[in-house]
Amino acid sequence: MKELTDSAILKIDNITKIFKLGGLFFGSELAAVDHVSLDVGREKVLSLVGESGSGKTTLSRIILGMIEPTSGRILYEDLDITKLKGRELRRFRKEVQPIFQNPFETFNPFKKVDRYLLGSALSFEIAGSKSEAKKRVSESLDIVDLSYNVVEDKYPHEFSGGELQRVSIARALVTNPRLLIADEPVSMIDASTRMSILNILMGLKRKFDMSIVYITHDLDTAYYVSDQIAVMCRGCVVECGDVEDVLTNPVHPYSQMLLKCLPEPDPEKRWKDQIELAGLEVKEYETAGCKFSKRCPSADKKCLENRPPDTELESKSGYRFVKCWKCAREGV
Amino acid sequence: MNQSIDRLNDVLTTKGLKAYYLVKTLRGGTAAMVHAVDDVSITVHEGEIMGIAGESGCGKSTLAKALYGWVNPPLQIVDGSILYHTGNETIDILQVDADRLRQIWWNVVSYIPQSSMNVLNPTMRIKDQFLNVIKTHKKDYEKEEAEATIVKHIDELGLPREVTTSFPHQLSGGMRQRVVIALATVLDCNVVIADEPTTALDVIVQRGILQLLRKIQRKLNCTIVTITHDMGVHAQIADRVAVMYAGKIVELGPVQKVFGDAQNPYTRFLISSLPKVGDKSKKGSIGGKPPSLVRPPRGCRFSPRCPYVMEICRTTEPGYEEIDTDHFASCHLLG
Repeated sequence: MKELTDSAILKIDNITKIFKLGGLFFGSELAAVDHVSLDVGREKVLSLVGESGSGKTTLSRIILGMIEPTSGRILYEDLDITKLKGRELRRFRKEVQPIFQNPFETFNPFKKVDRYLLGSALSFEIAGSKSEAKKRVSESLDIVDLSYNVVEDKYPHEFSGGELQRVSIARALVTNPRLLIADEPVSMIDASTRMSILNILMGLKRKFDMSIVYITHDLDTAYYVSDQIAVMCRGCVVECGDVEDVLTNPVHPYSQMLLKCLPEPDPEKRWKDQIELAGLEVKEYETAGCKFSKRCPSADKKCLENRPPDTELESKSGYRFVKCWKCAREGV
Repeated sequence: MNQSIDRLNDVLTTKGLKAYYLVKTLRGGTAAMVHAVDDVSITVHEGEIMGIAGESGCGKSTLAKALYGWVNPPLQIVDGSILYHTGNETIDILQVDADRLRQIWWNVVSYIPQSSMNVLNPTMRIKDQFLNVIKTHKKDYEKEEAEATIVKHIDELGLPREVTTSFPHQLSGGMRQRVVIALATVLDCNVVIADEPTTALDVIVQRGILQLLRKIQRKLNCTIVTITHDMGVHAQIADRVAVMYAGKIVELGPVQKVFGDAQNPYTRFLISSLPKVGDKSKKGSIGGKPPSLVRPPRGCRFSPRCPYVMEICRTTEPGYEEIDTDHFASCHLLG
């Protein structure tokens, strides 16, 4: 796949992760991530969207080095992250930081949260002494609109979900990262505080030139924060490009369905038709053809048997491709 | 709220309901009350889907528990009544004993709790869990008849028959959620209370679940009370919406009016703060956070965060104004 931008901070190069299934499905294999290639542009927000079980989180864990891919490479600033050792590995961990879905699971309930913050500063040698560490921590708490005395000596349960998620963002910011991997950072957060978290993330990109991989199933928030978007279906990226292009004019039937399923906050625009829910996920993963073919309204024999190629589409604002036989044959 | 609706069409009414949590502070032992549901009067009409909206900690789940008559310490009903009108009988669910309550549950009112996909027993097949429910809540229980009911019900809701012989871990989260909804409605109850039925599910499964709730409502001709913070969900399935803030209902009305002509600033905020594909304009959060329900603010409870706050809001609690037929809101701006 070609580059999305001239200078990518992270290149995902033909990554595949195969999980072996035991027990009932003895001996079978499941490609949770299936030959995915994507670039994360410098100072850009890339959204990975898809329903649950589409491989988004597995991909994010591969990027963070928590899971080893079966094949393919992840290049961070042209360094293969699976081969990093010593100083370079420390630099990678310092510069690429995660934010997780449920802040109450991020932090140990028996450990005060300021210890995480100070610990990040000290162990990554951002600060030499405790007072320096405090200063650095206060700075990063400042970015998320909290102050040090709010978090000092407190356990996770003393915060609301929104506050604790901001603490977890501040923790990630302590090391002054270049790339944030945010896995569903607002799906557990209440609607009324959700936007402030998203605004903080957007501010990071603007003010501190950070790049963000934003993982979500909510296309509304993906549209709000991101520059580029990749739609995943059962391990494959089926459509990818500029967020404006993809979400205002989706081409792949799967992207179109995701968009149609958004609950519009307007009682005049209720869903008229019914949708078919997916049957067994494993069956869709194992299919030889397009992973969406079993649910696709316009699927034919070819879709069921052969994996479609990536088709490049015209786009004003950069690179765009779609993985669909219909587009490959007819063009769009 | 005085609603001029014929009593015969009401299936559930609450009057001045106050459900508080009694919390003992550790030092000194002085009791503190969390005013989770504070003077709530609502009427639910027969055959409608009533939505209850509000952010976390506003008391909506406590209201759901109280409506189900599931009141365990530290939760206490301090005042008020909850009446179910079924056939020619009126039941006050707060006054009945445990045996009677077991008959009311599932036969009259059913409850789908939060994160309900985790309520299934992991060591039992789905069918046995269904049988268990029927055995507990029906007096004249016959196994063959019960099994036939289960299969008929599963078919009607469009679930694959194989689920009955599966264990919960063999099903995806969305399927488990659908099974729990089927389980809750297997005995043809009059009212279903669904607490956050789609939270933590992705958009496609969410849509499937909402479709299922609508189908149930039509097929069984029952009444559904759905509780969620997601205004998009209310817009899609509710007939009427009640917006809760800090233990009180601040706006109540038909869904078209609540969304099209919201009167309370909090309701307006809830609707306008949602991001939308195609709208890049900057959205904000309301400053501040919900008030402590141990010592709720005087006057209007939204006043510390309200952008239109006036002097009177901080001292006097606003009453309910009828804006339009069946559309009520409480705000001093309306006075």
